[in-house]
Amino acid sequence: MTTTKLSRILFGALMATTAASSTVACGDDNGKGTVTVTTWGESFIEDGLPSDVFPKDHWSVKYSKFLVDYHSVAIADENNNVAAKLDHPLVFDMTEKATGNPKTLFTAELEAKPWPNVSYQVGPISDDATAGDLASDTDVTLLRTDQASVHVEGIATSPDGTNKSFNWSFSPATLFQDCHGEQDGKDVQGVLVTNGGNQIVELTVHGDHLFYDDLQSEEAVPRFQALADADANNDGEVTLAELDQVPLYTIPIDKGTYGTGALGNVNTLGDYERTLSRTIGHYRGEGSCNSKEVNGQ
Amino acid sequence: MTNWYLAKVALTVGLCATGCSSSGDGSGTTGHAISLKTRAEVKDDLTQAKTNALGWSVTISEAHLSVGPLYYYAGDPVLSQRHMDKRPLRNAFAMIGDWLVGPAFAHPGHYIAGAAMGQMLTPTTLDLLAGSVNLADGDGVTGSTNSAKFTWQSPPQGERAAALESHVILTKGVAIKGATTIHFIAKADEPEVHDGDDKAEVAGCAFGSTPGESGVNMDGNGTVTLTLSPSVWFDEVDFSYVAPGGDAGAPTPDANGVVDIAGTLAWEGFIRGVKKGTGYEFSYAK
Repeated sequence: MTTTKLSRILFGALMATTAASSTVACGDDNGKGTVTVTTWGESFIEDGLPSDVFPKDHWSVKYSKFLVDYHSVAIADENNNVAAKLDHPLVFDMTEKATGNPKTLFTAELEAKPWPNVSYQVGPISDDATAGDLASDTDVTLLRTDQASVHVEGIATSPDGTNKSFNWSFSPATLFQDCHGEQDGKDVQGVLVTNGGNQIVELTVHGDHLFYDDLQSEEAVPRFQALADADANNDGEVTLAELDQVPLYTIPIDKGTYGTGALGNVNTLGDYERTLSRTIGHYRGEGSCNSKEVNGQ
Repeated sequence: MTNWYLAKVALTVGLCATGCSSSGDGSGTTGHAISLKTRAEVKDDLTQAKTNALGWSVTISEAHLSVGPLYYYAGDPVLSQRHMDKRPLRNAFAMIGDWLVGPAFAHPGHYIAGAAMGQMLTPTTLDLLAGSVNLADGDGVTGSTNSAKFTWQSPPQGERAAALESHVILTKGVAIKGATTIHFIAKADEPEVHDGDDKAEVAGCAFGSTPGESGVNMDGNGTVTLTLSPSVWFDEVDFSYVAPGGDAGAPTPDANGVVDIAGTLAWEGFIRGVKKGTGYEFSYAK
């Protein structure tokens, strides 16, 4: 056993001790701190995906709209007792750049302690959804009309300048739970509220995910050529209906594996894009959550 | 030192450090070594024809499968629906286990195997028309288990290995649609079943209390059942690509009128089917 491995094991033991201690201390009065839940689509959604994000086929993508319906958000303790939550669903257009304060879902004052269970749900769109910061009533109406949880519009450009537009509404609702991400340089499950502190909990939307060429592989990369080829009537717009007509097994391997991992119900490019739309939700930048299908969705 | 050994050490050290082993809800303990018998079953009634998604009625007359080691993990399958509530301390221990064993990196939002919870390491070859069969015993640790990895063994091993003729899957059967009847051979070699990470495996299969469900607390010695569904392999096979007068490049039947679909779009559909996790479901029972 190497020294590194031994030290990792010992640190693991220390972590376990700390976790147990935190549980014991739950009833103590630790003071209070503030949590502000925000959302950001990063540069990929606000500014675009340059060609170097597509290392194999060198397309680029510029979103003009990227609507997300945050159906629920909850911050809970180790026993899943919810201490703070979103009052009602909010719709955001992630292409809109916030100036000054980030796009905010809510702010809550909580006891200073670990809150390990943070979850949020994207969709389904409901009657009580309203426009969040920088979104409009038109955006909400668009989601409601399409019964969509996520809606994206944009233009993809090939290396030779060919443009393909897309305008896709995704209806599946997805629960993101057990979220963990970086806080003060450490990976934290949920959020650690400190006495007198203000923690920003960012629900991060990853715009590159809609173009990954494998649902499960570590080697997945964004591509667009297979999507562009799906434009059967060659009118310059790639529709979900056209993607539904492309069985994955007909895609040449040099245009991507389009592997579906262990999923059994992803057979066409349309199925594939709808599945990718359920992976866009992240936590505090590169942090992640377990994504679950919402029953009946 | 294997990751598996480190996983056991991680769980053991974590439990010793806290001085308690209760899962917190009184339902059991986490991290004790257990033995796991292993069983393979076939979900489909292979004596009956099954109509696939493209309207072909497929009857399988021969199906051999090379099985490699099987692994069970704490991580959830991608976009799973878990059928068990989390236990309060499970996350902390799973995280420690993940950190120590160095879980496979996956792009955030995609499958992360997490802590190793069990395994069966003895390769074998299955005749799927022979019915259920016991595989070698495996071992594991108690705790929440949610996903599994199926692997193919190449070259095949076990008493029936010769039937595979060095392939990892070999099937024969007949497909009928309207007036068209096609006697076929569909097979796959090891490189052809590689996943996106270039491994001959299906990672992130559901592991639960019943086939297809995800999430079970392995709380003692028990049996892990691998439930196989060959119908999934054929669900997207469009045999029209190998029908007489079909594609210009359609293969010629042999002297017995049997078509080897290799290299055709029908075969591409077959290969995609054999890589689907829904064809390999894992369940645990005491």
